[in-house]
Amino acid sequence: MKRFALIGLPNTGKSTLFNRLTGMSQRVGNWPGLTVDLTSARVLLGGRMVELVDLPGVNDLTGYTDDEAVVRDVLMSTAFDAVVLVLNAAQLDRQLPLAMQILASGLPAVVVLNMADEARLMGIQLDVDALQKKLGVSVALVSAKRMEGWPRLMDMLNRQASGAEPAVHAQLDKVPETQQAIALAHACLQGVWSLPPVLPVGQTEKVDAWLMHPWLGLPLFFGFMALLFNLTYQIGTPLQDLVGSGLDWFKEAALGHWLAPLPAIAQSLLLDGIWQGVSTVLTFAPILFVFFILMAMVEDSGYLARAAYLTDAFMARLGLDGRGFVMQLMGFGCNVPAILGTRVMRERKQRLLTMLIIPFSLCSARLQVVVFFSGILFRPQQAPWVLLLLYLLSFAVAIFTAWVFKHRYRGNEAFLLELPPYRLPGLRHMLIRAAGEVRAFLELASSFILMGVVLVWLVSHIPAGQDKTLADILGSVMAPVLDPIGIRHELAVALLVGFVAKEILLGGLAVIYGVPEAGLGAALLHHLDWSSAMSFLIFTLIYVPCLSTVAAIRRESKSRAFTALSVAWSVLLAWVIAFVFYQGVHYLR
Amino acid sequence: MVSLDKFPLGCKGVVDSLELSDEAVRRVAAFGLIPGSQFCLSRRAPFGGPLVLEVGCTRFLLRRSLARFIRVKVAE
Repeated sequence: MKRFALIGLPNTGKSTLFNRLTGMSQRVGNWPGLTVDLTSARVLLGGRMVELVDLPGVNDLTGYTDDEAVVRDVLMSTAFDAVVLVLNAAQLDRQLPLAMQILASGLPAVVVLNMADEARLMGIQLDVDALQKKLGVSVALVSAKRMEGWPRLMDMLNRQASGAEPAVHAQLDKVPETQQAIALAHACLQGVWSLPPVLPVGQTEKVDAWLMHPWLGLPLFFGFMALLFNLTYQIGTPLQDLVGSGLDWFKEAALGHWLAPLPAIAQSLLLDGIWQGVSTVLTFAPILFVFFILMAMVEDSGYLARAAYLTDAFMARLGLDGRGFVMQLMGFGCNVPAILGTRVMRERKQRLLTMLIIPFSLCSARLQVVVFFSGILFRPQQAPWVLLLLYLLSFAVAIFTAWVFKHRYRGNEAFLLELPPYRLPGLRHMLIRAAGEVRAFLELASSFILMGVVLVWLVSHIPAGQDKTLADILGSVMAPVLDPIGIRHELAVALLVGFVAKEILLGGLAVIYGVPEAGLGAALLHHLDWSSAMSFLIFTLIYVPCLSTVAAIRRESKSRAFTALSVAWSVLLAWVIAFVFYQGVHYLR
Repeated sequence: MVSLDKFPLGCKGVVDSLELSDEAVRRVAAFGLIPGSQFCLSRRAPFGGPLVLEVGCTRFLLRRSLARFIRVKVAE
């Protein structure tokens, strides 16, 4: 099988071209030794199967950004039959240097000049045949979004795939340095490509006059975020409920029936353990799908870069970049997609720092717990203020975390980001991408979450003598840690349940106190005093949001150590804040 | 000649020199900012936020902390 690499600068429509060429056959996967996933797909070109690998967008082959290192590693370790180089036809002045570097590396290449439609609107003069002659490789001018120029592109790719030469490794030592590549590129563009003397004022500038307005920009940004947030949950939550009740129905109507002949303990393991885990994971699917479609819209339309512009002044002080702010806000709905969404940040350290603070965003599952507790602990007039205070607490904890870790995960100060013209996102492209993301997450999370759920089941069901289960033992073992923060021993299991998912925490509490969920409020008031209940609530807010979030962090960071750090840090912080609260209240009394 | 962070808004200029590390020069050059290239400073975010520059058909933002080390002059 032949192997082609797809290379280009960020924002050149590389992924759109990839989707056009491959359709649904693509696969997101781990490449040995890399900290990012690569997407690849098999396509039939020139009568042969070709594996097309979509490499991250890079500006320069000699640089030291994470993505540049990834591309170099892949090109060095793997032999390719061809590089398909995607460039923005309107920006050849800054994009052609990459072509010069690729050509010098000795890899066979073809050049795709994308965004022919935009270049035309800009009034750019371009002689494709002359450029082809100067570069010495095939060049096709296309618009991947509109599928313009397709016959010439396919012809070029088919010819490249039918060649008989063996695949080669890149000779990176022959690649010219940036300055030299720029000089070569400029010489090559002489008389072949030129900008008009005056660029036309486009729609983008008119829209940006509002969206990037010094005073109106931020309110509009928060407005958009509120809309995005509401859309995700207006569409996603009913779907989630639908999937949830469908799964419950299946459990009641079919599964319970089939498993009836089994002994009670096996039934419980299968239903309360494994099935519970499966349904927890599956109910995430609809919300992730909706989130990824909406995020793709924000990103592909070009608005994400504007959001970065508006929030960068604040985020830079926290050692983050503006795009992290969007993810932090999305985390208030659900942490899982927000963590997966950090992929838009291409620098690893920035992503790690953002991933460290997202779990403190008070997500909708935790909100359920907070609303319940503040309802029973406070008078109706006070409850909304308590809720507001807890939101502020979650922001404060996130900012504190960023402040503590910003030196360890210091991003590169040389932060530059293209502000692409506003573009209408392609529906097909968004659907393919969202489906791929959801599938990839479910593959990882299912095993991870299943393990956690079964573990909790075992702890609360394995007998440990004298009418006790492991859970009771756990409570007494944890006593030295729980007593100083006023959390009663029987609640150790509730915290363990909450670690799996906050959605099942209230149900878990009801089981612990042996009451139906409707009577839980009264039971809690009976068993817990005010400060102890508040301490439990504060701890619940701050420690690990859920196993799915941990799974997402594990998947995105590709590091066990980092995942462990994230879990340990949030538990430590939760404990310290609950301790200060509980002991403070007692001191004041 | 001034540093880019002090350059007047809405004006066209020419890059004179980049007083940056090799890696930063590479990043800046990838957006077309090299000595001799023409640009337009089109926006400046409030509260010390980033600048928006136009070089050719490319618009991009860069932080003021970086702009401080880019020497520029007003285009003739």
